[in-house]
Amino acid sequence: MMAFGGNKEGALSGQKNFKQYLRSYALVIIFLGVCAVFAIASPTFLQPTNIVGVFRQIAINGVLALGMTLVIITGGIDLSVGSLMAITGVVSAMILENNPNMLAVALIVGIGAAALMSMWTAVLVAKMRIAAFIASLSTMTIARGVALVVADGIPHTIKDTAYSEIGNGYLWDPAATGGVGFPVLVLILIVVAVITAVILYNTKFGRYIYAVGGNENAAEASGVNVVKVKFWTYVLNGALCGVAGMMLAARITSGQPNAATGYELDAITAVIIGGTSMAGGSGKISGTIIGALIIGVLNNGLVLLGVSSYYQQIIKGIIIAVAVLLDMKTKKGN
Amino acid sequence: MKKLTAVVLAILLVAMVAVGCSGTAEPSASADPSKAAESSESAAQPAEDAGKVWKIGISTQSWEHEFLKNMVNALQAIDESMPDVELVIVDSEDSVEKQLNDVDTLIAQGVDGIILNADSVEGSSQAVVAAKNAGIPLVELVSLTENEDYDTFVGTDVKASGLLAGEMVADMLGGKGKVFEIQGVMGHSAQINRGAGIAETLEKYPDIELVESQSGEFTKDKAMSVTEAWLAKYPAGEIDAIIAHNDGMALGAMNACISANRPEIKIIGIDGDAEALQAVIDGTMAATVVDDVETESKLAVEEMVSILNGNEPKGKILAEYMPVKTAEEAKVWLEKRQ
Repeated sequence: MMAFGGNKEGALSGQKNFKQYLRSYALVIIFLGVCAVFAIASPTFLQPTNIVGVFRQIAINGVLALGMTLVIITGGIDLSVGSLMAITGVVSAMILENNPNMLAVALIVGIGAAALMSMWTAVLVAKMRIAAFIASLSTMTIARGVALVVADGIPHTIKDTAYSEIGNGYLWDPAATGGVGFPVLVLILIVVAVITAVILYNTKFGRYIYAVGGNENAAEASGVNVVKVKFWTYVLNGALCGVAGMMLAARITSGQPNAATGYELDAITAVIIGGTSMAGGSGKISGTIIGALIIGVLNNGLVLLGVSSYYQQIIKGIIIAVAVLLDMKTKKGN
Repeated sequence: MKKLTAVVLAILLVAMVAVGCSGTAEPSASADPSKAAESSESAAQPAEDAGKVWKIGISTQSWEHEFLKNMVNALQAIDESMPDVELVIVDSEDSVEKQLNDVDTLIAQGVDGIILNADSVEGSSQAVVAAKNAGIPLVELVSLTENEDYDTFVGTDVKASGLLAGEMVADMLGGKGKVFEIQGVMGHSAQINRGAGIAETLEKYPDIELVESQSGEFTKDKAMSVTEAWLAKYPAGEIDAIIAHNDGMALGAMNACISANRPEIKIIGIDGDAEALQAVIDGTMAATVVDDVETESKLAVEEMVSILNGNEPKGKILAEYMPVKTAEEAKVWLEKRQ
């Protein structure tokens, strides 16, 4: 009897686990569902080169979305990310133009410039307590202007092959592995994902990020330096924008002052689809990565199916709403 | 909860499939079932290459611009009229990154060749590399890339449109007057070359002064606000003509001049958009320079087919710009574009 009872209990908890499983993996199920549709509709979709292509296509938006996740968990938002990316691209390309052998310097200064620029948002939000939407709108405009001024309005070509390898190269030669390589861009995405996950889950700073977004007053009362946490979250995000800007510049082999316009929306979309609450206090790195993957797969699959770009936008909009609705429902169920 | 998940997923899947199907019914779609039939019919025509249908991927700038819409319409018409080609036309939405990704996707899909309407002189160069690595030919249409490893460029000498627009202004003003210029997106090849053409022409006329140049970013509303600022700054008689780097911006300038009741200002655009041609007919715009994108698109597809059939690439094919100064000339083009 004991054994039977134990079995019964096991079966019950198994059922419960399945429900929980379904709830916590709703996003994954949507993602796999979308993939299944495209796999049936297009023979190209599941080909290794195309799958690698999709991962490469989400890498830049993925890095941007990871930084955005941190900001949104604090209850903020950053609209300036595209403009910050442009600054990094322009600065690094122009340094290389004048000093052809200083790739490392160009990248560090370029990424540093984006982080420095993001301090404008950081100060306005953390110190001056201006709404993040407005503060980052200010930075978005200023940073775009800075990029245009620095670049004198024109694109600057990157002739350095090592730089362009970051955007277009592979870890090993695709020809040697039957046409499939491991893009450098994807490696960068993985590294950034691991770093942000470690910061968010395994450090005091990460716990404070959640605390500030969950309840700012409570966090303050329990001794969290809210100003400091917010400030460094925006600066960290700025540095990640710099990394994304470097990736884009490498991909398009040029630093363009008008690059990455509108990228903030794709990044925010990935974060929202990934289940991070706009109200702050909750959110996961894995969710954001899947959010970015869903967007990437949609872009890729709709092109493969030859869907007119006008319809593509409608479909993407619907998917965003469906994903968020579904996520809200499953969370309520929990 | 499980039910809800299932229902939503089912709706999602059905919607995706439905849209996928309706997508393939679009003229721009990749899978055109009528092509197979057409190609077998074409075997009867002696000129056809044994009924082979070439699948050609085309990546373009954003379809929001009317000039691009004219190009896409022309390409879709070519897709229907040429039995030996199947065109897959993809909108890059003016994002260089998306253009590079789209070209990768087209190559993964196994297209025979790529026609590239480059987003950026520098940035789109990587698409040329991608096509070369895949071992398929690439023809550039209308806009060039810095990377010159493409097989053929089909388009116009962009500077020639600026030269032509500049000449028309000088002609209308009798070689004397104050001219304003609304530029395209800074750094865009059309902005650089059209601007250079306009500047080069106007410099030949010592009595013509190019007073101010501002960017209207190729959009109507931005051009309108630029013009409104000028109209406030310069009283009647201080602005004789406004040249815009595209028709959309010329129309914005025109609207601003009409609302400010300054009809004496001559407005010249470039492209030959339907609305601009109508404005020339109505007399609210002085002139436009028609970029014959229909002919260029056809030349590009024909050149790609020629390369795929084993002929040597021609390297460069240039089409002429057409000046449109009279209502009669405008009517001819308007009929063609509607």
